[in-house]
Amino acid sequence: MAESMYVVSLEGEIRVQRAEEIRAELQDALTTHEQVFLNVSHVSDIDLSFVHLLYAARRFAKKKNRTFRLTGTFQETVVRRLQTGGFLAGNISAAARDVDEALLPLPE
Amino acid sequence: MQDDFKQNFREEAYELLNSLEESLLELETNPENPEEISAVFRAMHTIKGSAAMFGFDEISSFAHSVENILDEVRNGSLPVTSELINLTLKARDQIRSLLVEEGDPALQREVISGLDSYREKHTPTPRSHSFAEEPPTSGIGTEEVEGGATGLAPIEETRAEHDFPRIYRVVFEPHEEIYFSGTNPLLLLEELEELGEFTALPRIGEIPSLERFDPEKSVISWEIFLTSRCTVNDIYDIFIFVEDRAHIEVQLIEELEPETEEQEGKRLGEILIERGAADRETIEKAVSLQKRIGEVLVEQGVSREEVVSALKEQEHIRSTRERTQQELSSSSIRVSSEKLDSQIDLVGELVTLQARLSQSVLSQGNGELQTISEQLERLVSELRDSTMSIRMLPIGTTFSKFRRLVRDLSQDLGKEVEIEMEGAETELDKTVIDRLGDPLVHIIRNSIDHGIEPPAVREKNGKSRAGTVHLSAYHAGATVQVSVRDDGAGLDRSAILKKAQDRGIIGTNVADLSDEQVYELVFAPGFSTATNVTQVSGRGVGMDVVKREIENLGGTIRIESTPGKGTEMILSLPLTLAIIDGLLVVIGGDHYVFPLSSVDECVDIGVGEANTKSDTISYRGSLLPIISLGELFHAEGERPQVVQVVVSEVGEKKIGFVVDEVIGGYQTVIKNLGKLYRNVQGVSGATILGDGTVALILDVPRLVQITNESREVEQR
Repeated sequence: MAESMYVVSLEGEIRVQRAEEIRAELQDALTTHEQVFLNVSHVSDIDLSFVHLLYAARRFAKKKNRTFRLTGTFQETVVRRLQTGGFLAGNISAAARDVDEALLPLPE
Repeated sequence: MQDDFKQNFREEAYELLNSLEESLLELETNPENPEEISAVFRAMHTIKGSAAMFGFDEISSFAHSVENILDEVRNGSLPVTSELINLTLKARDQIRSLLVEEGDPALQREVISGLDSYREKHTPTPRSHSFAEEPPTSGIGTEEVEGGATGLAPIEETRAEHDFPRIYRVVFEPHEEIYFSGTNPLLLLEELEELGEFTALPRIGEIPSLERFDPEKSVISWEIFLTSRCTVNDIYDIFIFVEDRAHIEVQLIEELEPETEEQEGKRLGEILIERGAADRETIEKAVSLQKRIGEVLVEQGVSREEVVSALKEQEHIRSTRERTQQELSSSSIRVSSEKLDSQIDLVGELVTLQARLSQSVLSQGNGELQTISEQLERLVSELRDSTMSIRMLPIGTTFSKFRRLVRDLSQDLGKEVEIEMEGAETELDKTVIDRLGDPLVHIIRNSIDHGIEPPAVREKNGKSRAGTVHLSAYHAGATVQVSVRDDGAGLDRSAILKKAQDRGIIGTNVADLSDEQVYELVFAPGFSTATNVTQVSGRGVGMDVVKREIENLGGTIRIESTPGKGTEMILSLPLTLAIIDGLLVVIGGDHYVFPLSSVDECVDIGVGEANTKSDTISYRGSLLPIISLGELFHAEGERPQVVQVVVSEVGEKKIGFVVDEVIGGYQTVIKNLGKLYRNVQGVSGATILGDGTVALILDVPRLVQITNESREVEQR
């Protein structure tokens, strides 16, 4: 249990150009670890590919029976982008507290 | 009972006085703004009325005489000058003192006679102010001005707009290759958002799992509800450049004419029938079952996404209507903050108890209980979030106080200072905001008193006469950064060193101290740099108190300064004091919690991998200093063969904490330590775990500091 935790920290602007690299890293982490935390605090801006990545990772984790959680806090620009796209459930203050719960869940 | 009413009146009056002050200061920079003039009049008028109602007769009659003058100003027969603003500000202060029965009769007389002579001075010569061209007839002045202001309106109207807002349903389905055209669909949505009230419902069901996912393809589409006066073409215009790379559909759902606003919102069934997503029979059958219709429809095979989307449409229309209603009647209530505090405590207990419940249900393996416990958990977490959000206030409530402070202070000191604010909407926990006021006042005083130079000196140095104090706040990770920046003289390194030596704070060997370390001395107890101690800031209690207060809040403070250019104080504060996300670890059989915001990564190391001489491990190709918490806390028992290192970042430097085992993420309700343990270093609080045991919350920056200090001692 203990050795299977892993934190991925993303930094800067996450756009489609970096998406494949992050996809590979997340898949790798979720294959070798039981719990993977993705720290989003240092992400300064995003495009739609980032949202795809988050949901693809959630789906993968669910299939492999792993824990995949977002941690940290979304920066304001990121909150605005996610909110515009309708990806946030609840209000911003809540989003600042628990980013994982703030992101809209996958449909069943 | 009467006392309760009086207290309510006082609270209301404080708010009115604050907004009065703001409007007055605004008026000072923009003396002809008819809206601010009316705002000032209205505030005074309301104070007069409610004061009379609750038996504050003196306030009422005093406010009445001020109101009279303001009425004449509003009518355009008296001008707005800084003299008038000064008098009205004094009147405001007097009313504030009268509220707590500490009024100063001399000040009151001074204001009234001042206002009288102001009237005499200005009435016969209305030419001195801008309304002079209009005949100063009562009641007409303001209307004329307002008429002038709306002179721009016809230009606006040349854009085709509908008289009443319309609700549109927009379907936006970008093709998979949308990125190749360089388009970011989120930016298009942002443009659409600018047209009006906007609810976007993304369809994310198509996103595949990681291993089958091509990151260069987009599979998200949207259904968007937009309430706006714009036309269908305005909406298509936004998507004009992606027309051949996306499917776009715009549909008018409803026009919100005033009559229809009275009607009930459409029912879910009606919306689904209209769209052809379900037939009437299915709907009626569902209604007869008397469950929630959405759930039943999904069971009967209507697509879940369709139902969710229809619910969103319903919600969007309903909330648009509610907002229209709310504009008519304000629906907020005033609650004392003690009630909120006790609610936070209760929610904290509930979260803890919930954790215990989940744990014990899990161990019993009862499926039904488990379902109930999970539902409860969801409710508790919603309750927790909504309670926390009630306590979040925009920091602007504190910021606005400082305009007056800066104005008065710069007048007293014969300096010219402007204040700029940024990020006033940034939200912070109420407790943090309340306790932040005094330290900020102190910092701003220091900036104006010691930082910003007198106008003559500034001019000589090629600066503008007026200095600037810039206040800003923004979110950064789990913290809020508040900064106070001035464009004054900057800190004087040699003066600080000399003073610190005089006071015996440091020795004589100072050559190798970095600027950062020197500035840090300002926070030493008993330090004050002003050569002439002024009434304003040099009272010996200084920055050390500020620093302690910020640290008590769980925050940090640092200084950046450039000689001749100015100084910036940067405060980093936690968002909330009550509940945090933590990482639960075990050291010597005891549980501890790291705040998750200060954790970067966890790595395993075997015994012998660490270099015990220099206390480092090799980490990602470089050396990482480590601290063994087991040793630091004198934990009992043998250290295990394989330990884990929690990597965290303190002040831009990475450091590893060696722990016996990392357990995982944990929702932490922070409890204060009792009086006896309050001075324990390296621990900022405690929390109660699911099984009832206590875990200490680690204060990471402090732990690093303690270790550095003790290592320095060893080296000597």
